[in-house]
Amino acid sequence: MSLSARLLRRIALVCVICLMLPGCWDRKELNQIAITSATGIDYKDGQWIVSYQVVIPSAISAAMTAVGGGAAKLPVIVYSTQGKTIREAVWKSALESPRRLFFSHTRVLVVSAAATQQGLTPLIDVYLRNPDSRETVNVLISDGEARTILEQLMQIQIIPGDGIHETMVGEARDLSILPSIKMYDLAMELLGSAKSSVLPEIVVSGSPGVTSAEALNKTALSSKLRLGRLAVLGQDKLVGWLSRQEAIGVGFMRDKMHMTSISFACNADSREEESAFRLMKSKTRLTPHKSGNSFVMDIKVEGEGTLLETNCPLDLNKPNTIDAMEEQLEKKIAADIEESWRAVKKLKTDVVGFADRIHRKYPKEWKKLASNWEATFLQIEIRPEVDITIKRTGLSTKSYMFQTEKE
Amino acid sequence: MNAQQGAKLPISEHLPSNVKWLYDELGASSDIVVRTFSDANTGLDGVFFYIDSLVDQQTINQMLIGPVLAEIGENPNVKSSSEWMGLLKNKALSVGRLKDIHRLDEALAQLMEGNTIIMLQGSRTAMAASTAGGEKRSVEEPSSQTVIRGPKESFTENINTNMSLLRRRIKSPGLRVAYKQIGTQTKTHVAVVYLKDIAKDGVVREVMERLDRIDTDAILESGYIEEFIQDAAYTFFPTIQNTERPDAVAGGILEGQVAIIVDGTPFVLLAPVTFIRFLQSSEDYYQRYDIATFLRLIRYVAFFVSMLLPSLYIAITTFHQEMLPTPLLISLAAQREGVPFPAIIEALVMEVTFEVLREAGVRMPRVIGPAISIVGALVLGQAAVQAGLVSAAMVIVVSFTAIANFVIPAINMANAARLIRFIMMILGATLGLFGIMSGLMVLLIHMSSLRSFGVPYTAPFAPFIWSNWKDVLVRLPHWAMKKRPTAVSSMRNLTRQGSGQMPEKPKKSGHERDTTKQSDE
Repeated sequence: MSLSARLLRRIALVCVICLMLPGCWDRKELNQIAITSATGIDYKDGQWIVSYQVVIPSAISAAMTAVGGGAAKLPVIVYSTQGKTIREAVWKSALESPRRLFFSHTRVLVVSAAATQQGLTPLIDVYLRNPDSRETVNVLISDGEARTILEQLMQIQIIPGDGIHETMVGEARDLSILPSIKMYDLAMELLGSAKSSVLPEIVVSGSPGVTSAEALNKTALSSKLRLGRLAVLGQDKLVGWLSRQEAIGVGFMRDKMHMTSISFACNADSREEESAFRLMKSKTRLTPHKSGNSFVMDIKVEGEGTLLETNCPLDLNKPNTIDAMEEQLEKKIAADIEESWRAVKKLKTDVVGFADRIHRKYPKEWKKLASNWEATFLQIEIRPEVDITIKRTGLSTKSYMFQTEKE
Repeated sequence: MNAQQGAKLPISEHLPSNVKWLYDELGASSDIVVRTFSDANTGLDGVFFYIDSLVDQQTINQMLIGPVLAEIGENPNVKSSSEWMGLLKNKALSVGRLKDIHRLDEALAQLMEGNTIIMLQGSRTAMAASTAGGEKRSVEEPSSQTVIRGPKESFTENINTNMSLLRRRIKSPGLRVAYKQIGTQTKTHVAVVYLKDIAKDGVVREVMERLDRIDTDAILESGYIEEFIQDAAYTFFPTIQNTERPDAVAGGILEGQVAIIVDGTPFVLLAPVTFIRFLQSSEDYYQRYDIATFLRLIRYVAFFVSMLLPSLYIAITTFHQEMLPTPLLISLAAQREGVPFPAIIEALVMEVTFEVLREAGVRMPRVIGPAISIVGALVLGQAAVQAGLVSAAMVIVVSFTAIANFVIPAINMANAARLIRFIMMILGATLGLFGIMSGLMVLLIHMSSLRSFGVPYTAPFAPFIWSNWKDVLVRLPHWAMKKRPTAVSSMRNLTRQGSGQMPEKPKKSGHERDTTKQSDE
């Protein structure tokens, strides 16, 4: 009895010590952390300037439960710190912030164009090395200062960082012109054979910026956040920009088109684009072929979707009408791809991932090509081949225009 | 206590000395009744000796004293006391249980049972007539294990009533009952009940041996026995089941368990037992199998919730905030603004408050019950949140944990979860989810080391017995459970019901058959 009692006491002691010694060191209460919803990276005079959009939880819960009236509290604060390295800057926040920065819930990372000129490698390292900053964060680029993006408030989404993230994800799903690029996508693509990637742009359109409660308290804001062009990165630095129109073809070539809407003409002769088509599903296959010293890239796009609207006087009951429409769409998409290809060639950067395809299919030749890939890339010829199927035409078959013209 | 056991005095022919000895042994207590009777013609001289507070007066008056007095003077030819003895036994004493006794200590023991001793002058034999009585509670509805569908009877404090409730449920001649008396002072009656060939012989023997080993002066409730005979002393987990439902005991006996009924308490012990039995309710077998299965799964969830929810909340909000969805994190963070204590203190305060309330609820007079519930709900819930002492989320966590705890059908298992919860909370607050997982692992290892009368506690999970799974996570229909669970039952009589009893659509429906018959006629 006494032996087992002593043994028990010892075991209990060991348990208590086990709890005391290794426990609690990284304990942080919810009111000791500054939840960062968005981070901005700028570079100025040899220093990284890191900006944080920190959520104020009490203001948000008040905003969520408030039933009108009362002065609106702002949901976030923005502040910046600077340092020689990114993480030095982050820890310098201890000088001014009563709470420790908490990055696990950061939804977007905005990098300024100036900062990308410094190269994104240090940033990627920070994100891959530290467990608290997630590599699933959405990366966006801003032409001006990243900080101004973080300061901009949003109306329907209370936390702006969250709003940017939702906009980005929704756009990539429903429109697919600009891809949603996460930190690990960026790291993977910059390490790929082409050593290049793209970033969607975020801009504050309009002025002055909505940064105060008074400015937010209107039905029409003086300025708002919106997605802009597509930035092209080569070797982790900014190379140039593609317009949204030019980005469509890039989306097809990168096989990042999920859903989108396309307007097209009634027939080959007409110039007016009077019908709209909703692409619901799309798949692109890139197949390189050797031709002499250069390559030919077969781009096979297969897609299907629904007719959204048509003002052409057509009888959609006839199969050959549909066939003709599909042909129009195919031509239109092929033209988009050609247009993008010309723009990409101008930037001399392989954002469409041709290098990967050729590396995989011709690994031996790749070794020779790799050193001078840019020259080879510019000589590649593309052969777009688009196959679109209109699966449904909506609730009505004959167009309304067709009915009115008959009478 | 030794004086009574040591004395093996034979009953002497001299009646007054017998009476005096008994009288002295009982310390001349005031509730002793000695009723003398005599017949001068035949030299009959006798006494009825009983303890007033233990007997049923009516039985004594109508069945013993009345008939005996009626015989006096009717039999002038009877000469000796032994003849009188025979006459009384055969003609006068109209009670069922009549026992000849030859020793005074035996007579004393019979007296303490509430029996009446009839002694005659000149006879070395006395008679003990069964007249035990006294007030007893009637059979009522179970107060702690209520069901919606199922029998509404519960055991009472009287062992005979309890045995009859059980016998009436299992009319098999194979139902074996063995009585024991435990407790040198209380001499409490304990009945061991089991079904021959269905309970394992080894288990029955082990139960008997462990009961015989008990050396104590008092057994006031079956809990005393449970603590003496359970397998593991240092554990939160009960290794003996208890219930106040006769149907649950009958069900247990039919699955090979041994029931231990203790006089003076409605709670009957059942052993051996496996962990899952504590999460099964007798209602599982009365309701349809689909809802029974659903409710059983809910109970498993509730068990884990009541054990782990506060600790998980503490661990996640202080160590692993990244696990929460962003809106939830912000909402929780907003609630924690201005709360002065760390999450673990907050949780401990709320848990202790709840335990105090719960204990108060048990002990509180019924009249002031509503007042206390208002204090509990308003003051400790709403007001504490408004005063900024605890966060609203913590109140939700603690109250859901408390509610989940009441879902567990067996109170002793609910108590185990209740205690483990506090250990888990400390582990979660110091080591985070790592601590909780470590704690759970230790718990699992500990559970699989437990045994109840030789049956592994975690059966049929470990050891894995697939054939017993029909009544573990799910409850299959009765016609599908053809065999008894082998972990507990003896292998000799495993078949519970015949095969092929699944109800089927008849080839031709009864209605159709009737109509065709009519048309034939």
